[in-house]
Amino acid sequence: MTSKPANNVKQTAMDPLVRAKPVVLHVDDDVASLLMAEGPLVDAGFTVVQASDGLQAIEQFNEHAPDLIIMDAVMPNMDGFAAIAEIRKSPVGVHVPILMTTGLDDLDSITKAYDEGATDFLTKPINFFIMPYRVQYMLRSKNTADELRASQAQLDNAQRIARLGHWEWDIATQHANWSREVARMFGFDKTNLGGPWESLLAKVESDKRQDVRENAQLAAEGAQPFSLEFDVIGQRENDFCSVRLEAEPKLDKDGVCTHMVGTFQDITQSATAQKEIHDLAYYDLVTGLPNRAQLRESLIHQLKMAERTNGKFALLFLDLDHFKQVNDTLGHDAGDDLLQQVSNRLSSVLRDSDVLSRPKPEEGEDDEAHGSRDTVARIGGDEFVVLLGDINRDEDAARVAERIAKSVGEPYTISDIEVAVTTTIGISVYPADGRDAETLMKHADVAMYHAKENGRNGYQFYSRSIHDQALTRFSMERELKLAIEENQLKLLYQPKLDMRSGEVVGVEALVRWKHPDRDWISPSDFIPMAEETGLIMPLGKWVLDESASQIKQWINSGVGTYSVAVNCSPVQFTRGNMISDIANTVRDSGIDPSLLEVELTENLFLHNIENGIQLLSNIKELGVQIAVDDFGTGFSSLSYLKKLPVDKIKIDQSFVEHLHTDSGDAAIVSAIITLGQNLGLSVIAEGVENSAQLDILRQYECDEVQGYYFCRPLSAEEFEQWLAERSTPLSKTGTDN
Amino acid sequence: MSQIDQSALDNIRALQRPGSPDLLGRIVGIFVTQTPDGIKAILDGVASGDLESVRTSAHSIKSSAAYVGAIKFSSTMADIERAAREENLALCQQLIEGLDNQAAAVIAELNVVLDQAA
Repeated sequence: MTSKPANNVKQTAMDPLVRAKPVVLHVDDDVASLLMAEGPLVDAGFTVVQASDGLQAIEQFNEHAPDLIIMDAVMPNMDGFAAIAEIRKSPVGVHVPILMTTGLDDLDSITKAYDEGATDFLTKPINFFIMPYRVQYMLRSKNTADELRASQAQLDNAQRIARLGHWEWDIATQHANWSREVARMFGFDKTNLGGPWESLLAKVESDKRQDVRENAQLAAEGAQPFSLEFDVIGQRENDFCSVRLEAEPKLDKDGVCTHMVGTFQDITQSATAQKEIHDLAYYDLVTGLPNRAQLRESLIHQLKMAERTNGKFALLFLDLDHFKQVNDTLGHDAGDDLLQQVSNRLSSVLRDSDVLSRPKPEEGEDDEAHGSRDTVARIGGDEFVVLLGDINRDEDAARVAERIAKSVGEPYTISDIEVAVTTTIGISVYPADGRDAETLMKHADVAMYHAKENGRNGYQFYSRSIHDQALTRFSMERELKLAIEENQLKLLYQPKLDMRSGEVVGVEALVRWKHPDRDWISPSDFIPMAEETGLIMPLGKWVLDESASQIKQWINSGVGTYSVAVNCSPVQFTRGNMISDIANTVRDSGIDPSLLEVELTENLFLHNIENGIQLLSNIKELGVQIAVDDFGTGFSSLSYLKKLPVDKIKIDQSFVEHLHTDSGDAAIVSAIITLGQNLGLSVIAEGVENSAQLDILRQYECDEVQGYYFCRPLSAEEFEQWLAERSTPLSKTGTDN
Repeated sequence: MSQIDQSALDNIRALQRPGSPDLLGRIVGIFVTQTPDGIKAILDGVASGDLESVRTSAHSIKSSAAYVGAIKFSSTMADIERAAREENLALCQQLIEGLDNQAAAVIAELNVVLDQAA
């Protein structure tokens, strides 16, 4: 029962593709069957290998790798079913066609044969003339299946190499099928080749997901092709794949789009390569900073933003003085090292948030959202450019220039040698010095050469007037800082009088600055600057402390118990810690908090009434008095007033000014007084300058008055003297009794 | 009455390839040589109650008997195989009555075929 052409079979057995004749393994324990089948099979062009039971069958199978197996069911040792199961387990045996021979009466066997993996069956007794045709037919089917599998494998391979996958989306069922390469891109198991369309969308980066979903839906509805690029998020974090989707509609005979079909192309590598190319083109290799090309793009972007928002920005052009000497003496590597260190210092100066007075970005909001950002670029050998996006004031640029000069001027350690370089900086400002990139660059460059003429290690604005103005303001800013620290500020006090009794009930504290080289400087000249630069915070705290200390001193020296009203800037609340400043002042001085009065303007709660109420409640809890200053000028609706926990309203002096000549103003003042008093608030009129105004205010029963008619703002000593000399309250009017 | 369907033997003759050993002779030869042992195994099996042995032997003879045209004999073997598979010893005992004689008749007739072929 061995194969007849055994030698031939052995030579070619393991390579079905090259052997001339297909090999059939015939397994039967009935010798007669084997003998009778052999002739017809050989005549039909097959090489026949035989076995008489399951065990032999497996041996022969392993040795000859037959193209087809004819297997008897019932046999001694190992039956046909067990042999099939065994053969199907091997990789070679998975797809080999198996023709099972069974008795006609044995339905169970037929079922079992299919279950175990038989391809077809023949009932006994076998017609041996027909058998070869059946075998040939099965082999043709098998070859077709092999070709399909091969072409599928080729397609998979081609797609894998091309990093291209295809997919089809059934619009009606929302089901999609995809190729193995798509499964790879989307991080699916390689056997997962179909599922809900939504399961693909779920893998799209969240920012683009809705976009992809809508585009696909619209394309399906309109039977239009579409393409998109996006990232697909894989199984692991940070594991992503950039893909380009191309899709086309598939129409039924009525022209209705039933499916979308398309491809995914994995473009991760080309996206990475593009970024590398971009980096090479736009970044400096030595320092990693943007180069001239990138600077140019940032500058153009900044110009567009500034045009749109009427913004202002500055360009700082700088080079390193004596860089050439370092390079020549210590070598290029040392030079590169120095450039890197300089670039680090430049970046670090810009990161320092104190440098600019622009508001800090809100949580979750980056500079991009503002449409501007600062850029440090290296544009040549030792030349750097700093683009300061969105500055409020020219002196911001001066401040940055000064910090850069200081930072760059610190010593460097290069190869264990201490090196010193300095920098000279030219500044151009948009829009004053130019409205396009070239002009701004040229003017910053020119400014730098002017700065060098004036001596190295300095900075110079292109425009002389901006330079002077910025320097003046910048120096004033430094001087104010110094003034706060060195106590050059002084408080003046203007008395507030009770309308009925004429008694002095308190004073309003007004800050003055005695500049060492100049005369007194008016608050209107330095308060806005203090607000812009944030100096208002230490200034405001100083005013609080000074007022508290004055209250104490007047009580202790027997002058009297007078409340002091201090003006507060909205900036102190929005950028500072006003509440804790007040609390600290009250605690540290030990004064009765009700003697301290804070004057706030309406615009503090203009934008957010709820926040305003909360803020005022917090102040009230400290026990201090609250007055609404400049009342009547800001908020048009008076309805909010009853919600606010305030003690006093101050009628703006613009209404008082024309009180006696303008009936409209008189009506407003009357209304404010009535309204305030009905709400249980005390009402004070400021800016009272003559008796006519006072008469009307008395007639309207205003509670308190303040103004030059009674007294100008006085120093503490003058106030004490004024009090002592003052015999009759409100005597100047001569109308009271 | 003949035990052998001559058309079955004709079918085997038709399968004969020119230049090959005599197919009919080989198949009938194997049948007449092996069948007595198979019959003995069936009778012994029924006697000792080893129905598995009865079943495999009957199955084996069943198909070769069919090929050589011993239709009735093959059908008897099918009955015995089924009874053995169903473990019906009583039926097996009943079916083997006269089996010896039936087998002998088939073999005798096939021996004639062998003689003619030789």
